[in-house]
Amino acid sequence: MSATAKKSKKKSFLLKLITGDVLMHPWVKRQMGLIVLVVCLVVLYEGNRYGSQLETVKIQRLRADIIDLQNESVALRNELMQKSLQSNIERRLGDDNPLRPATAAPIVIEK
Amino acid sequence: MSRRYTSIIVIVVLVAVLIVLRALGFMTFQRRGWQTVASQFQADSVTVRAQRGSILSDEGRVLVSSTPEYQLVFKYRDYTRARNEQLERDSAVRANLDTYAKGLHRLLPDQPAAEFRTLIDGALRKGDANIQAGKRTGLYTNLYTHGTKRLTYNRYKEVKAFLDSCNREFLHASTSRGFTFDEVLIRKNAYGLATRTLGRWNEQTARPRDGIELAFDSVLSGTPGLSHRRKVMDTFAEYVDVPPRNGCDIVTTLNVRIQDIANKALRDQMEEQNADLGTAIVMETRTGEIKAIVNLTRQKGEFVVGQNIALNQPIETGSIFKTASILAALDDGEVTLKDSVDTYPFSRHFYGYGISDDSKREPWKTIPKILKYSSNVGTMTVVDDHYVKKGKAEAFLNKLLSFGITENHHVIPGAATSKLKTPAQLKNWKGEALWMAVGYGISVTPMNMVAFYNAIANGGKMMRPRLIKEIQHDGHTVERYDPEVVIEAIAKPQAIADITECLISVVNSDHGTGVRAHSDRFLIAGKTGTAKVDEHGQYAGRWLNFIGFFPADKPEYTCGVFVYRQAGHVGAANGGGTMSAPVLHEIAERVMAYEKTLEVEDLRDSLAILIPDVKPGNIAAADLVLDELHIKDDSLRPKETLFAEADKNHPRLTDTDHVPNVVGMGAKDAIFALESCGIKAHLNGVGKVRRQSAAAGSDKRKGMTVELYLK
Repeated sequence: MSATAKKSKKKSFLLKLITGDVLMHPWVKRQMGLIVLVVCLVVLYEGNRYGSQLETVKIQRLRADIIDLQNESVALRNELMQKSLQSNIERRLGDDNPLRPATAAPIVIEK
Repeated sequence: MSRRYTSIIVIVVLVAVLIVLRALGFMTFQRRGWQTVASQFQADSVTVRAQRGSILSDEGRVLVSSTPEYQLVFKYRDYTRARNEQLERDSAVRANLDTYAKGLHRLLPDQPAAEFRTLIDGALRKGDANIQAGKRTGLYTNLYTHGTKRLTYNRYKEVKAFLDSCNREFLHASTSRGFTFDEVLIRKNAYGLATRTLGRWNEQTARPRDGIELAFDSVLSGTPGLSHRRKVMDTFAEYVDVPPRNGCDIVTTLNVRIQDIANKALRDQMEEQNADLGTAIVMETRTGEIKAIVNLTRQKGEFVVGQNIALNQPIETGSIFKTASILAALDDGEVTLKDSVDTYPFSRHFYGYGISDDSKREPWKTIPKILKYSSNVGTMTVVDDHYVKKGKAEAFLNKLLSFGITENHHVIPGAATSKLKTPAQLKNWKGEALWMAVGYGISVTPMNMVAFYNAIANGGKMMRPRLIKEIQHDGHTVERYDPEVVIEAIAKPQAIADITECLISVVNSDHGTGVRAHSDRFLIAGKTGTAKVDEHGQYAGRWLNFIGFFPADKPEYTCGVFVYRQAGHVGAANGGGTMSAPVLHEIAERVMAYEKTLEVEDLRDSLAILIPDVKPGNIAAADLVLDELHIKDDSLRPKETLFAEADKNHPRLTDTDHVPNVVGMGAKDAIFALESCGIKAHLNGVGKVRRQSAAAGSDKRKGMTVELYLK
């Protein structure tokens, strides 16, 4: 094949591609089923990807909620522990209160 | 092909070429700029922080954990970029300054509203000055300056919600402008107890400074993971590629309640007695587990986090060391409890140096009395006569070393070591062994002394003091630290029994130096110790110590209290017996009250015979009660009916013409008896009738009233 003929073939293929004539090519016609399948898979993939992204965002939000609750519970626990120490309760009650810490073991009267 | 279609194709191709050229431009000339933009939407290899493990108590309560806290700041941005926004905010905040100040005061009541107002106003003025000066740098003003100067997570959420609502109202903006929060990840000691032992945290470097935090840093910190971030919809999604492994939790042997009891008892005494340093250790006798370890430092009347005295402060122990010296002599068979030593005139010179006793009682002292009165002369005489004069000073030293007093227990890595005299020192001067015998010229940590006394309490078996029980990951045990025996028997059982008897007499006999540790509820054994401290030849202060164990007949806990008061600080207590023994007393009684519960059976006095006291009177009632109690002893039942016949339901008097004898009866029966005869009774007092005004057997008179005196 001469160089001029090759060039003309390339040119015509580009034109065919742009004009859409390429879809009428016998090879494309033969592989049409495959092409449709690939397109379907791509659509499915994109759909799933979007779905997974939604899930990821949801997980992210829930994780933030967990951390928030965790921090809240730790802060609250620390505060309560500090307040519930017997020595702190004694201090808050002051010296005037009639309650005194036990110095004798409690007696179990009935189980 | 039509011309029109060709022209469309040409345009499409041109546009495609332009797109390609633009893309080439992004990839070459504008590469850096677009990379910066891209990095905002995605990030690779982002480190995922591993959660640092917690430190737990013996019951699994969280002692130390990681938690975020927040600083409330008023922040200026670079005004050249957000000038309008800043000016708008400033005017809104200025106009509503009182609302902000009062609202913040309501949520953070320890800081007055006026102070919030001043600080916010000051921040706004600084911002104005910044704008005037054309400065571009940002400014920070800390708005919360009271307490810890930081907000806990819950307080932060409340304050943030309030500021957000203000911004929505005044600025119609959804985010906090100006008012912002700087997050600081801290390690929170939930109870504020055992700070030095659990360890401090450097917030600037986010690294541990000391204690368990530092010693177990690699275990607590865990391994960070890796993730990448992508922009998904309107937010960023983080995809974890390598999950982080969170740090392990450390379960300690510390008990929150016992730690609190020890902390309070020591703190109160140090405040009352104007002391400067103090440590208290409570150890479980059988296992060597440290249940409480308190270190207190007092500066200018305030308690501050100071040094770890219990583990890192070797001291001259003073007289608490005499126990070791006497135990050495008992175990070597050099003395028995019955041997006596002449301590008169309560002062003596040994190899050029004089020593005296504080107590001037009983010149001739048996071995228990040497410890009871804490006699320096007695202890030194024993060691001098049985070791030094016999040229066995080194044997005495070796004996003391065999008690494990200088054992490095590695309670936490980096703890100080203890030292006694060296053989060379003993050879240089014979008096060295004698001064060592009374606790001078040595360097022993409080923990080592407590471990030694614990060995005595444990029948001679020395347990290694333990602070760490196990390492856990997600609640599962990774490594366990079991009780460890250091020395199977530090002395013969008889010597241990003898020294225990001596220590009991210190606390429980009249004039013993440790009587203030005595408890009426159970037996405490222990020894006092007072050691003067010289610095550069000058008196600098004194250690006032007491170590004991309880209950002495079946020891469960060993407790050591060490208090230091520097020269010039005045307090009523000037010895271990007055300063530290009461602290031990308080700790012992409260710990035992907390740890123990008694059954009713425990209260029964096995020596007492429970026999009811049956009053004369209604025999049927007495019979019923005695039968119910299954008491078969007929001698307890009233023998004389005196005036009535017993019938279960209808007691009937046999003689109603004379005044009955009601002495010994209860009020109810006495009144019944008298009124059955038509005689009125007038009661005086409560209990049994002891006396009646009309004689028994005398004739009754109409309208007669008999006075009954009960007791």
